[in-house]
Amino acid sequence: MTVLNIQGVTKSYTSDRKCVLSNLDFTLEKGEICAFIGESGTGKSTLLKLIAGLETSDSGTIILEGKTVESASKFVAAEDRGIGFVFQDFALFPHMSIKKNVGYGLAKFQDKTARVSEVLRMVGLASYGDRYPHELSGGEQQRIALARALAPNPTLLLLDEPFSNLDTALKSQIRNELFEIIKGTGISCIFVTHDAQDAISLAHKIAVLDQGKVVQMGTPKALFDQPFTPAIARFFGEINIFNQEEFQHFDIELEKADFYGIRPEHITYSLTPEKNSQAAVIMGETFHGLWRKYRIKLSSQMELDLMVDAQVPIEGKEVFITLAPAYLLMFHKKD
Amino acid sequence: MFSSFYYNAKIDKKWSLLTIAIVLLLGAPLLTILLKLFSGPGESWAHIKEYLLLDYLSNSLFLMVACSIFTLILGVIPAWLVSAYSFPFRKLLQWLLILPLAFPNYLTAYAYAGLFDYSGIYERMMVQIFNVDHVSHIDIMGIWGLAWVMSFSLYPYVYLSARSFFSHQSHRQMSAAKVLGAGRFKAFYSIALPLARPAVVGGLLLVVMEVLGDYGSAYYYGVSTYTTAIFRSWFALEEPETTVYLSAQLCMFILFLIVMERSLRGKKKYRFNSEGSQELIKKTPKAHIQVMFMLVIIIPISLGFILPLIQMMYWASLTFHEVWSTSLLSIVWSSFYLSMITAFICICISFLLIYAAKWSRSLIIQRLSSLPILGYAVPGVVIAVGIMIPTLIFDKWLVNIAQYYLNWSMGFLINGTIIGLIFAYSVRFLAVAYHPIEASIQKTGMRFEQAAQMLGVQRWKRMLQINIPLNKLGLLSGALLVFVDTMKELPLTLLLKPYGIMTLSVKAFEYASDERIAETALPALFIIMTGLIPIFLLNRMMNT
Amino acid sequence: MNKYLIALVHLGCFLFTSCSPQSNKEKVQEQQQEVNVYTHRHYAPDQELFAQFEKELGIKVNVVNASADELMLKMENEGAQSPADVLITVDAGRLQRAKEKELLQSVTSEVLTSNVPDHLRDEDGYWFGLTKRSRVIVYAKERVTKDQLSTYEALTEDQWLGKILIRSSGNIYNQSLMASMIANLGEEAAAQWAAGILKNMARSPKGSDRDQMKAVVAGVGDLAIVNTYYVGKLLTSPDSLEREVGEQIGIFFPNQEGRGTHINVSGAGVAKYAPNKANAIKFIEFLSSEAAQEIFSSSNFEYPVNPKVKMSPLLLSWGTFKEDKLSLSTLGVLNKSAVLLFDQVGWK
Repeated sequence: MTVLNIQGVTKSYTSDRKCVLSNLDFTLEKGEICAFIGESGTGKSTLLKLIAGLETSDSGTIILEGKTVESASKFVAAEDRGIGFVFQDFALFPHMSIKKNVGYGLAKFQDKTARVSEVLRMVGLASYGDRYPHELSGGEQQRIALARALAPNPTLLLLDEPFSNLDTALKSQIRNELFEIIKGTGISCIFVTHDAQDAISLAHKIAVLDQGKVVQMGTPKALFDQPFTPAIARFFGEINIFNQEEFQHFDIELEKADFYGIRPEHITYSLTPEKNSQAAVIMGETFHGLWRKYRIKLSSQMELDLMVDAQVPIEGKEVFITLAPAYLLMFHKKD
Repeated sequence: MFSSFYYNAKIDKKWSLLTIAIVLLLGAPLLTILLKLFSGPGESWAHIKEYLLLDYLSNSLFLMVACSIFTLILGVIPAWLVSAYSFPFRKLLQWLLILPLAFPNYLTAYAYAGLFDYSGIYERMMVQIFNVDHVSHIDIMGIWGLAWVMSFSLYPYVYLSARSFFSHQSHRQMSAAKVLGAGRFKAFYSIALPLARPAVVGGLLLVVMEVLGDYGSAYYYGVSTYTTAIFRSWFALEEPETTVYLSAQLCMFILFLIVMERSLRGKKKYRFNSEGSQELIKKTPKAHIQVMFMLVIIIPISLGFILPLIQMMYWASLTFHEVWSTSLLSIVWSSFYLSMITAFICICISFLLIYAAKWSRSLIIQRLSSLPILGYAVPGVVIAVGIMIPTLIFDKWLVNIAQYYLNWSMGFLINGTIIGLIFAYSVRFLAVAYHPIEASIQKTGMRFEQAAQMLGVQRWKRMLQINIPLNKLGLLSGALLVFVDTMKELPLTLLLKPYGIMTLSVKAFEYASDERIAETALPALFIIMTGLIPIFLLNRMMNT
Repeated sequence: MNKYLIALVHLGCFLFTSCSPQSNKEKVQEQQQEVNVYTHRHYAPDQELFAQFEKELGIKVNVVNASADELMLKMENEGAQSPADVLITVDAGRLQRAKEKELLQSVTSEVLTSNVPDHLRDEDGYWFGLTKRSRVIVYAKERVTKDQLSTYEALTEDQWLGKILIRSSGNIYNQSLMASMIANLGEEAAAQWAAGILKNMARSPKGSDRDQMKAVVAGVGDLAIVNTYYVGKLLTSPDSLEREVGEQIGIFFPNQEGRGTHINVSGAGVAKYAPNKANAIKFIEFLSSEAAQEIFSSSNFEYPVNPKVKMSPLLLSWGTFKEDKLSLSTLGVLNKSAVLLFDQVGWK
């Protein structure tokens, strides 16, 4: 069943008339967790606010569980959409205790206190009810924000950059805990992030936004393996891109494409010449923890990045590389 | 324009209509005046233009510029010292700096005139204490003296806005400057000062509005200002058309200033993280510098408050037996509750307007909502006219209706009643509440509101439960400022007050207009004392 | 929530009780007798008189205090519903203007016609003078002798260059003086007179009449043009230095050889739509009565209009004088020309 259906949504801000979203389509199925990713300024947060009803579109339709919530002639206010929202800075009401914060959206509930303790238990902060937001750590505040959003049983949960305000040391732990909770409730969920790693590990499906459009949508694996554009590929990690002419130097039989790409980790190398290998001079190196990155220059003057296991650094000034066709990504220019 | 507004499903009609209703209600007096701009001036306009306008305009412009510069110096420097340094009595001085607000500026003007009078305290002191034979007379009653007096009584507006900025908002930027090796002083003029500009300009705008709207002090000091032209065309030349035309032009000028200020603010959109609003860490300078700082701060306090206060107390002691009676206490009470009600209404309306505008998706509503603050710029008497014209039409209509249908001969509902008076106060002082509340809402931002919205809570409830508690300080400071201003208000009260009610400022005026300046002192002291209470509270609030 | 509601209800009740219509015409007749007075006079003796009136006749006096111009505007706007019964101003010009604007009504009262001399009231009974004030020359006794002074016109002579103190042209007393100049000498001569005074001014005009006298004593100039009763007020001031100032100046009544010294009246008229007309007449009659006039004379140092009343000793000490018998209505008619002339010669 489709929870959310967006058709042809366009939005521009009056201040600069630039299109933030142009004619965008999107659907979300029940129980799916979807990530919106993209560079900053690609309109992903705006899209989230449009779905929530915190912003209005210039044209287009948004349908939530079969009901039109926004169209040219109709607009359902945010408070009447039944959507949960976790804000980037959590926006916990500073003048209310945790209990009150969590219970704030429960006006229609019969047994408010029971529901409050239920969701507090769910996020593992059952004993925090009487504290105030400023007494909590960032991670705790975030869990309360989640509890508050989940308490009224929304049909859809939206999270805006949920991890940007957290310390990196704890980030992955908090991230996993949070999504365990979300997955546990089985709620449909969209979150916005600029970190592809978050998207890959947490979402069922990723929508990549660029210049106001969804440029690619699919499972994390599909996006990682078959990105449509070099830009999308670059989003999931570093990549070497060649045009057709540059690619011919490698002399590999492959179907024709406008661009080819290979990730630095996927280049095979050896210290001695091998079949079909090309010699390259090492220009510089940087250390990346598990990896060591080398900048190398081929005889054709082309420069590439090469990532090797940091435990086995390359000795010497020269290296021989081969590109395995299985690892090569192909991109076609749009017409 | 309106049909697209009406059919746009995305604009909240209820709130938009509420905003429009409030704006129309409060704007009716101003609109009445502004509309006169189209009907043109009367025939004496040519006379005014030929003989008076240039002189009056140049005086007004001079006062505006001079007072802006003086109040900037008098407001910003002490604000910086009390927020960035620690020295003995800092807390006390920081509070005393606001006190001149309690003085109606026409009383400060009288007090200064009295001090430097030919038989004034200054000359007597020179003769009796310092044994000076020939005292060179200081003539305060001139345009420079007026600029001086007005600056010393108005600088707290600048001081308050600058201080709240320095002490609560500049912490991060100042720390950054310190890390980069800038000294306190350099950090002040290169970081804090430019950042504080929007806040300071807001305070300055209030000063300019007060200066342009003043009549009493300027008249007494023999300085003809633009407002003089307004009064002259009305009373001496008997041409209300020209009066209203001149007032409308003044309104347009103020509108222009407001738009300028907005666009300045718009271009330089500094974003401040409100979570970073820690207090600036205060530095303790060397002892002799501490003393110097204290002296610098004592200057505006003593010249803006203590000196006029001494003069008032001296006068009060001379005239006490004549003026004092227990009925004075009932006058204090009526002044007090009128001001309380006005303050309450002003903050409610300001809040509604700002809140509705912030949330409206209609640009028209956003623009409209700040229009009523223009009332502050219009001289009280002109507002009184603007109020009388439309409300009398309404009142007469109501009286006729009641007579015709109910056979009930009622009196006026608005004119000459407390409703009319408070309505007039609200039109005039909305701006005073509007600014601090707007700043507070700006600072709180939309996030809590949006969070409540996403929890399915309806607007009225969100406003009462989330926005009002979160903007409590802004609302209270708005209320206190309106309270103090209403206590001091004169021309509106004179014209619109009901018979039964007497206020302190009217009492003071009765004496003053009889040239019994000394007798004004006792009611004036009561105005000041009643004004001190909210100022004290305001300061407490700003510190917490 | 309940708390807010209760507070609101309280506020509502409060507003309603405190703004119950106060100018209810019927209610007045049923309940208490009252008279609504719009007055420009703010003197303490007036309040005593009002209180006395309340006590003697049992009619309550409601007072609105503001400048005459503002009060007239208020009456104009209120129209037929105006609660005003009596308008009191401090110069005849304003009363004349009120008559022209049809804000007053004609009254016939024998008491008033016998108490107020003909030239001090409107011929049609629209207004009645209550007190007289004359605008005189005061001088520093130390530096000036009486025989140096003669007329208002003589003040433009070069011997007084930089010696004259007078307040601004925005002041109604100056406007009336100027109007009398126009009436007596014609516009051109009046303009020359104003220019001559301006040339001789010791400083640009500012402050009140009292301030002019203080400046005379301080030596800023030698002469000032002021209203007589301000001298009386200085002499009885609670401030000892002000009393000294009062003693150091002399009063001179100009133009005694010719038309007489410029005078003006403070007076009252019955409002056109007066809801309590009878009370209004009683009120004005009371103010013109001998008892009331004596109070005007003794506590406010104004000259009584009622010829039967003896002047206070202080007024007597200044001597009697010949007054300009120019019809006071003329002052109102010429007021605007006076202001225009002031502006043209540049008298601020």
